[in-house]
Amino acid sequence: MPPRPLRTLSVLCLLALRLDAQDTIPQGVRVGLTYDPSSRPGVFVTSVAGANADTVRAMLARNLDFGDRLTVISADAGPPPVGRINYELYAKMGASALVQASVTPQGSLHVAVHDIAGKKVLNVSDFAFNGSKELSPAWRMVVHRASDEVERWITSTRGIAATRVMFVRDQRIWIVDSDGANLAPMGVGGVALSPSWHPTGRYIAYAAMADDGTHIVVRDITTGQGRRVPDQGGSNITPTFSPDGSTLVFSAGDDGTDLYAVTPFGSDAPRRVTVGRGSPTSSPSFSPDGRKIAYISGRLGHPEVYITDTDGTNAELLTESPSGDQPYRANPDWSPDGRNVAFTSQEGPNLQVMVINVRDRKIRQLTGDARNEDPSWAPDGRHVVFTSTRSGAKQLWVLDTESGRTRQLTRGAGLARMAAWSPRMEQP
Amino acid sequence: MIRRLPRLLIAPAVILTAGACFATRNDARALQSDIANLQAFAARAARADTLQAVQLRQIMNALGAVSDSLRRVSSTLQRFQGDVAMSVHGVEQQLLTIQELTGQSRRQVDALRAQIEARAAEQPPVSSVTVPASGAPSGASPASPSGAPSPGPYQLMELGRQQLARGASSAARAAFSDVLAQYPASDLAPEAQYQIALTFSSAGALVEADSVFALVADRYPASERAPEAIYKRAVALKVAGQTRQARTLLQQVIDKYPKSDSATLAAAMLRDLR
Repeated sequence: MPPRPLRTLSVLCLLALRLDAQDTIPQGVRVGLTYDPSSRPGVFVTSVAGANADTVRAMLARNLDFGDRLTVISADAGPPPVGRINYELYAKMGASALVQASVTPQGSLHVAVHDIAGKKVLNVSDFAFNGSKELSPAWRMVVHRASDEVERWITSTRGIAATRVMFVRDQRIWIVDSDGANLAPMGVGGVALSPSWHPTGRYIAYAAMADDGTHIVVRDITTGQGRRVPDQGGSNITPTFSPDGSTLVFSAGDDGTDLYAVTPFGSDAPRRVTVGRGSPTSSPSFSPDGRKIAYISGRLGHPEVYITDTDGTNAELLTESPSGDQPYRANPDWSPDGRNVAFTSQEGPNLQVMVINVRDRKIRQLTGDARNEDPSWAPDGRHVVFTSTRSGAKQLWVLDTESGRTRQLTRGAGLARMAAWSPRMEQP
Repeated sequence: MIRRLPRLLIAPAVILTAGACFATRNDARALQSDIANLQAFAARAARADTLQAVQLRQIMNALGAVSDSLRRVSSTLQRFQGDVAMSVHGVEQQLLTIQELTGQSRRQVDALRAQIEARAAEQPPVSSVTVPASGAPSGASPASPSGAPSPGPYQLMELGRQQLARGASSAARAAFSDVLAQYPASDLAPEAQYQIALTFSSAGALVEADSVFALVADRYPASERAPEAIYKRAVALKVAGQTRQARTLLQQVIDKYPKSDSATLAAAMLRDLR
């Protein structure tokens, strides 16, 4: 038996020769070796010590990969490293950073990130599982939060692993973690549509169908208690919260619709925001500073994206079309950085997801394969979840708007649509 | 005597019986006549009834026809009314669309003009330019002290909008102020003034914003921005808790600009405040 350092070195040398040949990350996880390492620093996740080690390592690697900012180096990690880190060897593997994690007996996830070039520890932190049951959604969310912090330490941008996506399937609201795990119904009774997140992630709003019309309901997802907000009677749809959570705007009306604003937890009568004059107006989305609202209006005879000040003045057409064109535009969603609005647009026979720069009004097409619609931004302002038929039936997909890389988020029976990406989940 | 009595009784009885027989025959004749008369009358009556029934049926048919006609007329009228309503709605929608398209075109034209101005500014300066005696035409770019043409009003407006979209309120305000300073007679002046107010409100300078919105309404009462400016002032006052002043301004929007979108919003807000 050779001495331990020599044994470790030999293992790593072998690994370096077999980088492309091995992938111990579970099936379905795509790793980023095809990406430009100069723009996406290489990161190596070592084996994890402690309980559920394989799961923790796989989740960390997958989350960093799904973040699209780092190239996760795929290789058999061997045993968890002990003692001095062989920075030279990891550098040869193309790693700029090394993630070293362990599950402590005290019930927390200890994570250290090493700067390979600087040959030093970049950051260390412990993430408490707070007694949550192993492998439970709350336990998994702790690992997700650790991943997001690791991504922030390395790239200065926090990841989006600790987020969830809410959507409608079979007229019921479902929720799934951003990595596709923990798919479950929200437990909202009756037919529910157009779900939307409160900025705290604690509440959701949705349109609930009843015998006397469609109403807006705000629900506390921690207690399960719902409350119908004051609405306009008739049809009330597409609710959305303001960035500070103090206002809820929705579309209401029967013969033509308009946007109305209401206090989500108050009892004041709704305040009118738009003047559609009989045309359909819906799908509001706030700018991140809360000063403007993007929405759909049919004032031109066909649906287009408009923006207005939140008091209803200064309304202007955002998606201008060449004269004579009557495209169908819908589902605007303002990006968290405020620069872009994603929307659905009729392009030839199919719907596609587009993005318009609010400053220069330049439009960019994000999708082109099959029918794609209903975009919703992730909190990082880089990823978008949308409905696509590219796998056959309507399912949710995630797109990295910078690289164009996509991954399927939902599978199984039933059509998935009306996705809403949550804010970062600060609590389990 | 007693024997004669039956004879005496028999005689009138016979007479009576015979008489009765005679009367019955007459009566029967009369009766037959009456019956015949009755039958004739009945036949006439029956004929009359038939005639009346026919007439009644005809009347009923006529009434039915009239009713159908009325129904048709009513239906036609309703359809006509519906068509008229639809036409009016259609005309309203078309007008709205035209307004929207006009607005859209205006924005596109403004952007185009800004581009033209930018290209004109890129042209090398001509050494000898004949300046008309009346001075520069409205909208023409005045030369800067360095001799290079300064940006035109559309270019300045576009620059200001871009700066405002970036969140650079001060830079945006400078561009809009240049429009007012250099091209006070330009059609863009009301818009520039309104945008200056927006730069203040976006920077959180609400008092300054209010004063400039007031300026928009006072200086350019005929502009499209005037009702919006007053409405914005009302909203700010409402948020500040100055409900009475807010009501006054909302009523002002409704009275002065009853057909504007701001008037619709003002009416809704006024209802909520009461």
